[in-house]
Amino acid sequence: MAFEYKRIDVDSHCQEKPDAWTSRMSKAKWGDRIPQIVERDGREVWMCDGRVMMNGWVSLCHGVIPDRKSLPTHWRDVPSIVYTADGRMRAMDRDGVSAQVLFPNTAGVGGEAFMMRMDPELQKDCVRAYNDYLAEEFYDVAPHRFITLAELPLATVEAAVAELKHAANRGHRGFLMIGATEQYRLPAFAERYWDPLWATAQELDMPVHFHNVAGAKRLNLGSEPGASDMKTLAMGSANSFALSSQIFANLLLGGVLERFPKLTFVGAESGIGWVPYVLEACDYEWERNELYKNGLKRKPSDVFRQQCYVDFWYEQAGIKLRDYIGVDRILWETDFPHPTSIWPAADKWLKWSFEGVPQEEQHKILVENPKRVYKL
Amino acid sequence: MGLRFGVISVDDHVVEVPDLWVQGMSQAKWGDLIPHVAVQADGTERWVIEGQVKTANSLAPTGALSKDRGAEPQVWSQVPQSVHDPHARLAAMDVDGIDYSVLYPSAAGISGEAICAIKALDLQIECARVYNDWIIDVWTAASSRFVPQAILPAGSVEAAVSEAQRAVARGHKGLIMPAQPSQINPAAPHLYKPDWDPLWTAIQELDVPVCFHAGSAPSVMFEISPAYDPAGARAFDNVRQSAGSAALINGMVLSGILYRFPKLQPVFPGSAIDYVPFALEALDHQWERQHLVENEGFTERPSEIFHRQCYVTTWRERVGLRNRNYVGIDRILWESEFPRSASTYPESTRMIESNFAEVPVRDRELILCRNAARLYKLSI
Repeated sequence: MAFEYKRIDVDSHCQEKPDAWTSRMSKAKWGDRIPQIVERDGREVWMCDGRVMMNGWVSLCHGVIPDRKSLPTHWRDVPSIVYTADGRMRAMDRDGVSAQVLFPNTAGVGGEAFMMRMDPELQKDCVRAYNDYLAEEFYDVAPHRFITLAELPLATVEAAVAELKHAANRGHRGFLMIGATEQYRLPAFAERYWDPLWATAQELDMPVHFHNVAGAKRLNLGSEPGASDMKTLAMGSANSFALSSQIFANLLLGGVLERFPKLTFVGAESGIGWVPYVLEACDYEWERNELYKNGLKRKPSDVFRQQCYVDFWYEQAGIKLRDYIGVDRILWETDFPHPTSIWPAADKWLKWSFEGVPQEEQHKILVENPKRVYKL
Repeated sequence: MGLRFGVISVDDHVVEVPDLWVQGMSQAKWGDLIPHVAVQADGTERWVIEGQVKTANSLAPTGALSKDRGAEPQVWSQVPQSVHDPHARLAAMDVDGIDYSVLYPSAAGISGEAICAIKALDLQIECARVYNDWIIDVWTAASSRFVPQAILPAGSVEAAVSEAQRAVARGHKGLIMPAQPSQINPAAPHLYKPDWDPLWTAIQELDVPVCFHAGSAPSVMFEISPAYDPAGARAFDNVRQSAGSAALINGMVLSGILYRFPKLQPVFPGSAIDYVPFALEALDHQWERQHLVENEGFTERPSEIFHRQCYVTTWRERVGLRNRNYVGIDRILWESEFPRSASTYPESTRMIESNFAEVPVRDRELILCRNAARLYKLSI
């Protein structure tokens, strides 16, 4: 009998285990440059190629810490429900989640950790180890419950294309892309440079994911110097849609979707309430500036409803505009175990968001839409 | 209601005349540091401020008046009169069905940032004054249909306070601040630091709104790739600017400024309203998830603060108006953004009819004029 899906969580974060990279990369070749946990000033931190990762946290897992505040400083205190397949499945069961999409933690919550200026060979090996780690420890263990996404070595488009092919063979069902490539000294989306990657993704039917904030670090009117961690976290999360909305506007107006009409883009941890803004603003500018004369044949909102997906986890106002966004374009997530996560209270939050929403529409959002995106 | 059209535009731009500062300031004291227009090697004319040629900035951003909504005049002789002459402007307002127009600058920066960036503080102060006096002496003197707003020398908190007080005494009804003074002028503190409290105190006492124009926070906006053609670049620019406003709304709340100054009334012109319900839900969610009552002493929900104090603007939205009760019906203002490329001009009437087709008269009047009249104390 086919596995029956009840709820599919399209954004959770998998904490990588301490040996995720050390057991898969050549010590002889890379020495201490391999991502690993080291002791520093009385706490443990992840290091890669001489750089501290994840802002010095050993794990980002506020959502499973009772006060949502006191993060562990040592690996031994990181709850295993964030890094073992069994532990995660227990956590999923508690929230009624049948399957979940895994995004990284140490490898960059938006897939950016290895995209900084780095030796392209080292980048390739780090990314490959991450992708194989996910495949071996999660996909191979419970393929119907874990949906894995690959990172790609973006330093060259050739390497990215090659890794995407490897990832597709290894069971990955999509990949992460950074949102503001210019910040990484890479060509912009509006340029043709990325076309081989888009073409391969379209051919392999691998959706492109922008996870909030897709590595767009500098684009943030952040807290004042000296602000508390909690306030900074709140500000960062609240501001993130200002970035997501620009990523999608840049895609819709930059012509990528026009040139690759079967390519799918997913905004993870995107929120949905801001989407009407992007669609109305892009349609308005498309019409006012006559962009249909410049190669953008389809109206931006039509393109969005044919090729893009967005997700939510706590909203109500956005859900009321679902017919305008497109009920078929909306997914649901928990963001387990991040600071903003609704775990373990998915029932409560779904009740709030789905007030007045017919059953069949709920089913589309929780099951049918993600099944279509990930071909489950 | 005595208004002819029932429409107040809360965000339009004057275009400064080339001799504005040259006429009003001492040549002997400042020489070429005075903002002026100079012919460049390629034959175009550009503003020169404190010796810096503003090559990236248009001489006169007037896209709404050009045929393709993009081409802008490269020399002053081509600049349409309606952007710099109050009498010609009144005629354009009549054509487009606008009763009152709230004024923002152009050469001084959409939020006064070109003046705030001036390094010599006394020059910065004097330039702000000259602009502010010109608005009163030329624009308001021509017609009470112009709602005057002053720019502030935001390179210094003290200077900004004095100019705010002087300008309001001279008749200004609103104050314009750049969103990131510290990025524009290294002498200025970060906007969210308590260093600015004397200004917020003064503005509260003056009982006028403080306005943060979209696009004045470059670090929250994506770069525009050179691969865009000019029309595409313009389109993306206009979309990204409003996204920047969203970050600023969040910041004014989460910085604690609006908690500490419960009568401060920030306006976010060019913000758009479509995303506001989401912004408020996101803020409330974070406030709850990060325990900001205990951790920061923020006792009210961020959405309550917004509904008590903030104003946002709409011009191109239909769907956003469906969610107007989440935004707060008394929080929404309408704008035309004349004469910039994003403007509804010269089709404001048609766009209003189309966007407000399903909005009841009471709500429509609040958004199109009553909220603005209350905020700016205008008789309607």
